Amino acid sequence: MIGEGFAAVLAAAQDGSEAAFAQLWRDTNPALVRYLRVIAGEAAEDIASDTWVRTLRGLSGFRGDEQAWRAWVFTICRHLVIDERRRDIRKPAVPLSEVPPAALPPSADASDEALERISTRAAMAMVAELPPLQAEVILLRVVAGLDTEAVARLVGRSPGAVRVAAHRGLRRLAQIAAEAGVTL
Amino acid sequence: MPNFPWLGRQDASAIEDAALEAMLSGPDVPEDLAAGLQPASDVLAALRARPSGDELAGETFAMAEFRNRVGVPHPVRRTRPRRRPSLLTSLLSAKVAVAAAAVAVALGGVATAAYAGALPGGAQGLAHTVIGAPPEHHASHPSGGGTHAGQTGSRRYPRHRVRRHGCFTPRPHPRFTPKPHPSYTAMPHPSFTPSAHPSFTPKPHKSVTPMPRPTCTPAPHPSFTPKPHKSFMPRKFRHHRRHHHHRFPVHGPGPRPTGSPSPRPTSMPSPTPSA
Repeated sequence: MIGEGFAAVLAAAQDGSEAAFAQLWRDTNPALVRYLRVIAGEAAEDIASDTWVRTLRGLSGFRGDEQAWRAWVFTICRHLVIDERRRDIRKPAVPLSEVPPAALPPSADASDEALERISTRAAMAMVAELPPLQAEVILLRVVAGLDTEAVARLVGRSPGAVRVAAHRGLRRLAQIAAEAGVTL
Repeated sequence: MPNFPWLGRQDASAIEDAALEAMLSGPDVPEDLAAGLQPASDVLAALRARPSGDELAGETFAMAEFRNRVGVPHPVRRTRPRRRPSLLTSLLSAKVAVAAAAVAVALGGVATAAYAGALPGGAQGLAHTVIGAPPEHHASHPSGGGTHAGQTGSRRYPRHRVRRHGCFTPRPHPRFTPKPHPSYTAMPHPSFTPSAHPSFTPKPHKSVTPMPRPTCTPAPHPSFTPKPHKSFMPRKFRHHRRHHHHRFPVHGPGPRPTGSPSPRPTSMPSPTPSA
């Protein structure tokens, strides 16, 4: 998240500043890719590219804070995921734990990753085992950084239903992580 | 006080929900987090980790797309919104609009004068050529107004009454009668007051409870005498029916029916045939 300087960065990007847009992209794209890898599987990179193409079309007309910006980008992304599912036969997301380690791209900083109890990929694989709504809600709350109301508007549910789905997902996630051998 | 077990469960659930909400809202782990939720907290922390190399691989494509769509970057940030036009532009457009309106009014006045034949000779001829206004020789005899149907200008453009300030009022066609709108309902003439016929009794609607019949009895026609039904007529008078003069003749101008006429009964008056 950019924080207090978001308004200035957005205005500069709308005026044509490449540096400002690059900052927006680097702040938003990783969350977008993580969300798509759990929800869309193999089409994550393609959908992420299409999402930015559509975002650039409406960039000059966007008005809002950082929460609204992320909600807007993830709304575009989610619509593209739905379109992709309608076009193709639905392919369930392959848990990353089943992917051979050689097929995974190497991480940039191996030392930092070693300090982490669980790798990001393993965490994404565990989230992918949850029911679709619980997985999506947890990703939008944690990875995208959206609040309950924004997530409710995005998925088309009530805030109460979103809250219940998130809590149930976390309890189930705790069980999955415990079964996978995650310890303190 | 008895110990109700479900109250304890509710308290634990509320605490747990608060802890779960805190886990979702931010990276800070609550200190009183239940031991069973710690693995979930670790998973969320991994999801929030810094981006890896593959998650930043599409930056080149995104920047190229940005250059194509947004354009050359401006070093100075605009202080006013993009979409609002500048004051100079708005003034210029207002002036242009006013000038265009003035030109349109002037042209309209010239055209009016041309059709009224008020332009000088050369101009009138030019107007006749360009916009089809009346030619010069017709323009020298302006219409005197009035509503004479015999006054005619050119075949194509009828005479119009011209006012002093140049505007014209087209006269209605002498044979044109505006028709009222179908939805128009003509009001009755104030001097006419429809009154009910003395012998007219309005019939009630079938959905309405019928009113009792009036007690008045219509007076019979002086020249008409109702005949009793044959079942009520004495036998000795039945064969005389055909010799009674009906109000409406039954037979045509042909020969009379045969049969010996029987003497008229003296007790019943003969009906007077109507003229």
